Amino acid sequence: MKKVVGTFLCLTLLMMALSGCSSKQVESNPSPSSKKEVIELNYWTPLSGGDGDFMTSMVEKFNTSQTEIKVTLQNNVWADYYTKLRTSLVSDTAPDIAIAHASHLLELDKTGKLTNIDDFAKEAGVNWGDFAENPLKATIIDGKHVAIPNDTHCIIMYYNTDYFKTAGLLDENGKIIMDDGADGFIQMLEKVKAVLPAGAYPFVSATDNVCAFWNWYALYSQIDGGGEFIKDNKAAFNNEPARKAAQVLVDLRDKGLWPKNISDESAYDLFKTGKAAVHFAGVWATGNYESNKDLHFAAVPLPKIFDKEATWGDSHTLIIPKQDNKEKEIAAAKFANWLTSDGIDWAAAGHVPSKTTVTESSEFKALKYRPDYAKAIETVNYYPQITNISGVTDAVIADFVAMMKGNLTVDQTINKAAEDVNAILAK
Amino acid sequence: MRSRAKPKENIITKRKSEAKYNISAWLFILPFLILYLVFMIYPIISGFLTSFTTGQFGIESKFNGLGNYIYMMKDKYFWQALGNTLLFVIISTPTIVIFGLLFSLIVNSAIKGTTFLRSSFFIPYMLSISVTTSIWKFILQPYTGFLNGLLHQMGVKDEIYWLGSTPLAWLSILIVTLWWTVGFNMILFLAGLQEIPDSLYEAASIDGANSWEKFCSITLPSLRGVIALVVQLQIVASFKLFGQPWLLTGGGPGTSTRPIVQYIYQTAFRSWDSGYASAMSFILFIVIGLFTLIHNKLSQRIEG
Repeated sequence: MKKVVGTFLCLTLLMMALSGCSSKQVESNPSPSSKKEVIELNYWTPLSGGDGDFMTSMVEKFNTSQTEIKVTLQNNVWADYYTKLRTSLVSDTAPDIAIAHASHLLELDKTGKLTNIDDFAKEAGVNWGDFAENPLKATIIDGKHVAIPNDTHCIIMYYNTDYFKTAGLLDENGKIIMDDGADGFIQMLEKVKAVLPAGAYPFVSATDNVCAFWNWYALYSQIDGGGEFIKDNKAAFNNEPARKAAQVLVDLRDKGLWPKNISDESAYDLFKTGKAAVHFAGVWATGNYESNKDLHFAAVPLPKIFDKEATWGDSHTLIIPKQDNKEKEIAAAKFANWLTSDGIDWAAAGHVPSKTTVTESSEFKALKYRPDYAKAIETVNYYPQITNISGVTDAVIADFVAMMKGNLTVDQTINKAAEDVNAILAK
Repeated sequence: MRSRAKPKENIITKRKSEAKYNISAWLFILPFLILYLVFMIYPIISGFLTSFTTGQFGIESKFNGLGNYIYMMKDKYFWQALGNTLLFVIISTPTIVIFGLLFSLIVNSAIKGTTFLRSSFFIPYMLSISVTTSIWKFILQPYTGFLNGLLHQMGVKDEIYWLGSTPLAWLSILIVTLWWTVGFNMILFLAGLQEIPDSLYEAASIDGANSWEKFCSITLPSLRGVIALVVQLQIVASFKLFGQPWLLTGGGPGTSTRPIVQYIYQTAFRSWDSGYASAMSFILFIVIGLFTLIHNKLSQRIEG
């Protein structure tokens, strides 16, 4: 009797243990509706903080605005999002629609599991003419539209209007008065420095993280003959323009205009608490700065420090993984179309919506700060499409951080960065 | 005839009951064994086989023999990362072990407030890595950090870059790790200390020994086993260093505080080179194994 009970208990334990191994995939249960079944879509995003909150409310708005499609949002941790997304594409367990940065599109497309939106764009009501040219171009690979652009986020210039007013450097439109070129920019900063209180700096931007690289990339893109990062699977920036761009950054530091060793958080904190006159940062800082009512600032595209206007940027785009249910693919495209048209809500996060129908609307123009830098998206120099942008950028970020710390000269930095990029690309 | 049949029957019955006992035993451990094989052993073997392939994860996988291992030997970033990890093992093991012992002695003493001290030394261990590094980032960051603010108030003019210069960054990572994990070592030492009979200390007092002599002649020898265990655990934990530099300095400045686990992570999940990452993981496994072996031999010799 004891043995029977014992064996039975073992089998029960075994059963319980094995049941825990079942797949954890979310099953979409069609809700019992009288006429048509509601199409349920899984939507993955890698958004953090405020961005996540805005997207959640936009999805809710979509769901309540119509009864044909129901979207379930799954917000993921940014750190391993692309591992997760790419794995899901490879193993055919991908969501129905997901956010992907424009810089990662080739990486994902290589799995062969991204749909060509052109196949059902018309049916879903997606009109390519609605979108701004530059972000749209970034979603086209080999002539196919592999994604729908949602927004662009780029590096822009924030400046403290109080300090500039005191320095007499604001014109009647609130724009900074400065001469062209790198010299003009440096002179302007030196004039502002003269009116700053103790403990405030003329120029800040993070030097200890990816921003060291982004700032260089932005300036490098402004130079005629520059802007090319990778070509034919080799580093294409070991040249004079790259050195010119890097030299300006180093000069700002050496002239005492840009303090050293600024971490990411410090950069935002310094500008937000009025300890900096100018800050080169991503558009996503707008929401953060707005929350400080005592801070009087303006946000504009980067000044033309070299030959033309340009900046670093990337875009959130919407990809639709291939699946057997064609109806769901079309529904996903319809949702994407709605989302991109609801850009006014997304603009609250600081990003610039990709649809010109949104950015040219009176509602958008009535927003604070955002219309001032919206045109920066036209001059974003996107990363070239390669299959391991993260690995490549990880390698060069370390080199530019070392340069900003003074551990490497401009020449050494560019040489080493090119070497490191080539090593990664060669593997 | 009967007397012969009985022993035979007994043997058969005995074997049958042994077999039944074995089957029950196996059934009890089967659930765990299945999960362990599927989720631990299979991935380890699979990873080992992956280390002989190359190609982007999820796209292609080509066999390339010892190619990854040969590349590793020539890869300066691999040696730098491994060196960084070894540096951390060397600076953290004595530090966190000794502080653990120190705190356990304090908490075990007769002074007032030991319960409060015990909790406060141990509570950081309950926090997650992200909470811990968020707290310390706020404390250590330049220009707007808590510590520098305090120092400025006390009259220090210079801005100290706790996370921005390589030596200070290592110090910061060490301090954060110590604050976070010393409680665990303290608890282990505490358990060992409480095993030591008071009568030994009393006898020593009668013989006129002072505190230091008592510590060296009674406490330390009695704790030999615990010390060996704590050192072993600390070495392995230090080899696995990843979260603190990743969240505090990003492995920087540049790559000067990048431990080997971070390099493996970036190779696998940023560069999508799972073959090379697997190869490095196995070399790390061998290195940790060697350290463990050496440590075991040394402890045995000391104890024996």
